[in-house]
Amino acid sequence: MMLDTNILLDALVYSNMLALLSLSLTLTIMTLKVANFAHGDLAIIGVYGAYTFLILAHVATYLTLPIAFLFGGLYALLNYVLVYSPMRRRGANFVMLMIASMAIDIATRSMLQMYADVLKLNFKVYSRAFIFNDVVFNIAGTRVRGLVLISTLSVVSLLAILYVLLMKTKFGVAMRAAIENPALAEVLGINVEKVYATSWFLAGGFAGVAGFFLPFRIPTSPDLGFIILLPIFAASILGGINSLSGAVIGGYIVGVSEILGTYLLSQPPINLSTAYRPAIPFAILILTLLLLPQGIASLWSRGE
Amino acid sequence: MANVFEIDELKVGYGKLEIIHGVTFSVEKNELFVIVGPNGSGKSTLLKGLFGLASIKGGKILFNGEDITKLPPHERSKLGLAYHPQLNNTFENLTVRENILLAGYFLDRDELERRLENVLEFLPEIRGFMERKVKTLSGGERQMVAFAMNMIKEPNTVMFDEPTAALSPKMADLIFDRIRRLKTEYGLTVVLVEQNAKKALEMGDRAMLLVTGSIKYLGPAQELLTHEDLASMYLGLRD
Amino acid sequence: MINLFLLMVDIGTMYGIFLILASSMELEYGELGIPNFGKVMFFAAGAFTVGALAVRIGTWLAGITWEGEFKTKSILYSTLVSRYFASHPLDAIAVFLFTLFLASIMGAVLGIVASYPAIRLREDYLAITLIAAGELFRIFGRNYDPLIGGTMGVGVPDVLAWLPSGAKEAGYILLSLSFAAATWLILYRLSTSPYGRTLRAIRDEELAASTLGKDIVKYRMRVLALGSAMAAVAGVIYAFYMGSVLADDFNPLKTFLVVLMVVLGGSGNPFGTLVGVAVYILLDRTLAILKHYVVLPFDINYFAMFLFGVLLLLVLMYKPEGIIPERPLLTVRAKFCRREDGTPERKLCD
Repeated sequence: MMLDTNILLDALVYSNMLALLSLSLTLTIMTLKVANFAHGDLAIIGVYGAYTFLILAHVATYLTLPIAFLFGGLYALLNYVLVYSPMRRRGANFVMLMIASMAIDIATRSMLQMYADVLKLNFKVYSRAFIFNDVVFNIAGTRVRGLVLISTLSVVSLLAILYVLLMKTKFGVAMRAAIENPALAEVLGINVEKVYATSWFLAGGFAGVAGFFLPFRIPTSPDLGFIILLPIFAASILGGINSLSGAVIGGYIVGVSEILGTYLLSQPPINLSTAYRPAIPFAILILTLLLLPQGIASLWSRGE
Repeated sequence: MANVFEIDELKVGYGKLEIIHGVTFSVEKNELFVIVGPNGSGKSTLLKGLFGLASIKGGKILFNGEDITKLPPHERSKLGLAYHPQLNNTFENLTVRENILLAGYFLDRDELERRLENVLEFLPEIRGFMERKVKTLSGGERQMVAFAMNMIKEPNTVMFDEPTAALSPKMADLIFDRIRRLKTEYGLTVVLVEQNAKKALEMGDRAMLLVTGSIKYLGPAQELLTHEDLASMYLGLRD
Repeated sequence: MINLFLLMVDIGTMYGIFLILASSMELEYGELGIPNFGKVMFFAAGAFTVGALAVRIGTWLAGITWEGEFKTKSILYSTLVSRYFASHPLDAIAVFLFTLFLASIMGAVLGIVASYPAIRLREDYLAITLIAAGELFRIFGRNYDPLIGGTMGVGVPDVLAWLPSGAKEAGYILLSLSFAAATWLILYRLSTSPYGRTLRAIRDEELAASTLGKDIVKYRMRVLALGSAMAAVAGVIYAFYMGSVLADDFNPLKTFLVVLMVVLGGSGNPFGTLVGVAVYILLDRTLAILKHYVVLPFDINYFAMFLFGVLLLLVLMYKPEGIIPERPLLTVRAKFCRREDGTPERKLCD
């Protein structure tokens, strides 16, 4: 039984996506204090945006990556400005905000389904289970799949941008302040609503970028956003829900475990159906909640 | 000389609850005005009302002649009014420098640097922990950071809500000393809410005794300190 | 043309089934404050029990020898068993009661298992845990063929086959509505009794309730066991009414719809549940009928779901207390406010 390089590379690509998704989920949880059950849908909104652009403009696939960012970001921003922010101003409690995110999930997915119908009708294209064709780069004699290269580069550069924004700019300091103590930030004259809305836009953009990579790996459909929700939550909770770095590491742990675990369990002598794949993030989720409820971030922030 | 505060029949509360039941008083310019009273008398609520953090149920607040009753906190802040909350007055996960920088969010870089120098001259102790996260600091050091965050705004009036609560006597003396210097050296107006009534009244000009949301005494601070009934009944200053 | 009689049967039976589900959700969420987002799992437990057992017991009672795979032959054998039931009503009733009994026990046991995380986790963690557990349950049903026929689904014999046509359909309405009535009455009695006041005390102020000597863990465990058994009963009736069980039918959307009904009607008030279910069923059926008359560039089912999502959002935003709000006379409700940073704060809010 040998793990070939393709599976390891697939694990890397999947983990790259998951890291972006759990990082962005964590960013929204830090502002709203409630987990957003429509987070996976932001990725799908992003990829449908990019796909639509591809149908209309016939450009190289990777050039539509920023479109995915934009669509994901704008949709998340709309969610925050139109629903969460007014609800919170009216004193909605924790469970109500959570149910609202579930309602947004249902509305978003059915909206995407309707959109897929319209797309198919008007452009005669695959609007469900569509895939993106990859390109192969030749770097110093080594052939590298575009997906491996671009997804890794995207994660590295987005993380770097986020780090600089949060740690080195005045707006980033204001963002961290507004997340930690919105009341005090307000007193100091910081527009907390604006800061939160920006966080949502960024989070949606990150999710959109992750979504862009989906059709390179698997056929993509509107409901995929809900299917990937479990590993995203598992990664975010494993990361400690209030730690951005924890979320990224959680994304890689869950992603690699899911891909390698599913592969190993489907081999002889176990021969388990790959349909049981969600059992792996589920197990990680349960184990985290039982053994390390504060997540892995508590391992290094303890004692501070 | 115009008063800094003219408070007329002010009612303050939260939601449906009224805690301050119509108080009328004024604070003079360059005065150290002390508000004392037993626990739950509404001292903190009154300060929050003056800064726009609790809802005004009635009455009027004039600040330097301007009606600020309905202004949001950051607008009051722009008029030179500063408020030093008792709790949660700093961002724990940020460094001291970042905290102070945030307080001066709207200043340009040069102006911020200039003011920061002034503040560090006034509170030189902070120099020792500028780059540390607030959550690693002691209670007294945190109070000094919160103090600095207000000073960077160069206010004309500062309202303190129990700045020495839970501090060691030595640290409390230091804070009291700086508060006094705000008035004497910098000519600011200070409103001070204190649990430590004795210390506060000793250095105050005038004082107000607040009991269950109403004024029980308003006059010279020294007089309240030596008042036979009030001092022992409400402030525990006599046996 | 739409057959009005069959439409009424469908509306009546589905109303009953969803009323049972919504009553159990109202009991757990509205009264006790545990949002059970794994509802569909307990519903499926009931249906899967029927799917796995009804046709097997039926063939045994009828003395039919099974030939061929369960997955491919269950529909055929369920038709044969239905034919046998047509002349053996007592056997049919026995199968119904036996599966009902077993399913409610299954539901209750699963409910007790679910109470373990429900007592310990914050609501959003709990929700994702229960949703994922339900999904794994569904995936298991879908992939393990001997249980309920995998992706093909399983046939369920008609336990009312002994009634003449017409009376049989009415029989299903009656069955569904009488179980719904019983479930709702249990909810109503609990809600208006001292027990219900205790539940709401726990919901609103856990610490205070525990200082009054209430064993919160035990209360939550019991309520989840009861609520889950109720959902399993709904699954049993659903399986017999539909005549088949298909694993993929039991997806998280079902839970969402039940939540929609409870919130729409007004959580915390059993009468709200009655209304919420009715509004949903009528809206859903109207859209299903409209499907025959309106031409849209997309599937109207998606439009219906979109509408339900937006409807729930609007209710949450503009009328969070629902159509029939909770009556404050039953309990003085101390609202749990949140500070702007989201941490709970004990104070009265507007």
